[in-house]
Amino acid sequence: MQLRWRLFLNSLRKKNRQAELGISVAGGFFLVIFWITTSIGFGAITFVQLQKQQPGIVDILLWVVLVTWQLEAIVSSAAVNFQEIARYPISFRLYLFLNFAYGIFDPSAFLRMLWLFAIWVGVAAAIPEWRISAAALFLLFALFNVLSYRVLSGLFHRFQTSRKGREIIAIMTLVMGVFFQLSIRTLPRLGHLYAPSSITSFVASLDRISPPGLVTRALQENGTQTAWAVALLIVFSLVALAALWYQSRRTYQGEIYSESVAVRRRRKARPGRVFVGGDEIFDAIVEKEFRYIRQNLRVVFQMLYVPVVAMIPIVNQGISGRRGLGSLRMDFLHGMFAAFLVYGSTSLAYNIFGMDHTGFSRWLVSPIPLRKVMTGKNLTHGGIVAAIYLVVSTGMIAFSLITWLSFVTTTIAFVAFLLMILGAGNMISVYWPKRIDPTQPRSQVISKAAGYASLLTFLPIALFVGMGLVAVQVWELKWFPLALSVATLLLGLKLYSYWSQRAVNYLRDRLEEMSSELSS
Amino acid sequence: MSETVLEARGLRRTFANLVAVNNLDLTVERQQFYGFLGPNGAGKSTTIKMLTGLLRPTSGQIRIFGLDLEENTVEVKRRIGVVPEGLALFERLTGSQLLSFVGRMYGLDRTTATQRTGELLDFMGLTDSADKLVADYSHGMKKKTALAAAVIHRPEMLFLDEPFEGVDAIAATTLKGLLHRFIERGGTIFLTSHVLEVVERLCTHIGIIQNGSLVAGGSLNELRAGVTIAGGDQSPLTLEEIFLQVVGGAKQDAGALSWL
Repeated sequence: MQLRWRLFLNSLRKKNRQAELGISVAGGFFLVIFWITTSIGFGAITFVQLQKQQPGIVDILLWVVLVTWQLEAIVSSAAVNFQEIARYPISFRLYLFLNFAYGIFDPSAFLRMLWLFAIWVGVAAAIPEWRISAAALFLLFALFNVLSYRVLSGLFHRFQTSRKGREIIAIMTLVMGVFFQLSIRTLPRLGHLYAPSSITSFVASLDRISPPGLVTRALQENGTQTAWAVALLIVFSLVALAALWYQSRRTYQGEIYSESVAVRRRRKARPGRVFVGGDEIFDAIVEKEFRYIRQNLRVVFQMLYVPVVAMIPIVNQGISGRRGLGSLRMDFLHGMFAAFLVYGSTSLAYNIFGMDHTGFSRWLVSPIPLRKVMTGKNLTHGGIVAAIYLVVSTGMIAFSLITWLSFVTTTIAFVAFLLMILGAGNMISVYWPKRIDPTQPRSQVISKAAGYASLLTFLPIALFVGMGLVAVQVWELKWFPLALSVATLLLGLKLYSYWSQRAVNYLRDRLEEMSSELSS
Repeated sequence: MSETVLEARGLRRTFANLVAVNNLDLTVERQQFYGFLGPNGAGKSTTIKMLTGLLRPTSGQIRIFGLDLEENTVEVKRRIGVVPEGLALFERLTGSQLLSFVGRMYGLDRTTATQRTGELLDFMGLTDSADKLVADYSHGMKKKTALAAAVIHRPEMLFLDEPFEGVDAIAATTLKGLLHRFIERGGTIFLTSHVLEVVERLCTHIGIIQNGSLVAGGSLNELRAGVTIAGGDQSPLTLEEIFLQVVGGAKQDAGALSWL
């Protein structure tokens, strides 16, 4: 606890961290509301369903707790590297305990324990005679979750120390996200079908021996059945403890390898490439940026995730071959895809120096105006986003899914908003720089403040779309969106130039702070 | 006739209430090997950062090759090479990619950058590691890479912040060889170091900074002439003796750390 508190206090010494704290407090307010409302919901639904003699609800809610708790191992941010702790003169037993305790005093654990408490309140209110056994079982369930969470965190951390591991996780995350979205869209259509009984019975038998199923069984049944369920739950916890013991032992002894070994790979030295043409410095910057982005595919996948999900309905409609009324919708979907792509680009654009680390100082000692460095980075990031847009849009045009007028209008608007994002990104990158560590599985790619700022991206886009829709639908001004796009492009050019120059001016005044923020 | 290549006047840098560098005047002539010394926290790194454009001075003027640094930043940077405190390496490039990239940043065409990259890697004994990520290099290898990156564009003046810190004897010999060659070909070097023996052996001129102010400066002989040790013998003073005399030796309290 003290270590977590000390890390938190120390992180506030830097100015931009204080700004981040302010934003986090605002975000934290909504988070607390989320915690409270979901907990009340969990408690209420448990009470109501148990009153209706539906004890299966406990099983379902415990599954929610289990899955979200364990997923936190991938998505939340780690503050302490336990390999570092091992160098202090502490016994292995204490080290193991600290590793375990770190999982208890974690915000994600706190939320799940709150949920468990709420479910317990629901159980105790509906069936008072279960309250003591439920408390004991939930505690055991929580213990299993904490142990398992720490094991998974360690596994992911180790996996991410290799480039290949990072890429696999990034791809898996994207695939899982797309699969989840597809499931949401597809399952309702399959709702009228009954799942084969063999599948349902298999799932049910799996559930019976899962930790949530065991807790529910132990609550419902008596005698030997309860004893077996509790015993199996204890076995699960002991297995998780053994895994944590084994993993901690290896880390404690320094056997778990680090980045230096994992990323080593033979590469051929090649002469530079020509990207922009005519300007050696731009070419060099673009080439370097491409190489860096390839090293950190997580950023690319974060950028691609939203537009890929947005593509699903487009492909869906394309395959079903709907035209006519569908064609108008395709124009809209194309615009939506472009908007999501612009939004996704913030993961690259809002922290342009994040991957440079000490290399940031190289830009400063080089005989290149800072504005040129920013433009080179923007060219790379914007180029990647524009290339994706063009590939998809060209395909849609080729298959006559969208009209030329819509294509031209959307493309101009896309460029305009992309310019605004890149310009704003230059400012945000300088105001709230964030060191990206690709070896840390849960390192943020942009600062929290930049994350909230990226949400504002949709405001001007929504305004633009709203004006366009009103003009076309209400006033029947078919060409108005195109004129609006051109006007937005002019504004985008102006804003890009203005914001980039402001970013350079601001950067000149805080070279030291930026270097230190990105290096440490 | 000597030519002044670096001139700093009234240089001052503050961080909130802390005065890191205070009213510093410096002059370095062409082909001088200038060693900039001082105790920890004296202001050495802050000074070199200001001289290389990594940090803006609070006040004062810096002229390099007769050009005002603030007004001619790009032109000055093109003519100098820097090994800064953190080495400023893009560690996720390989050694050869990094050097080639830096060369192109200084305006070299791709062919020349690639050719010089190969020669520098060879000279530094890094050819076998050319296709490894810089992140995988040892500290000494990183230092050699940083020095190679500083000279790839053939600068007229080098600024080196602690180039020998954490470097083994073999790597240090390579670095010294390169620096000697640089001076022989008409270059100028401004170097900070804690290793007094290295400075004494390499540098022609020395400046000593303490609490942000220059407290001694000149050639080694000039410094020797200005410093005498009471009751000392007549043999020439070592740089260490001069340094300790100028900045004051460490306090030796016999009662301190009695538990140790």
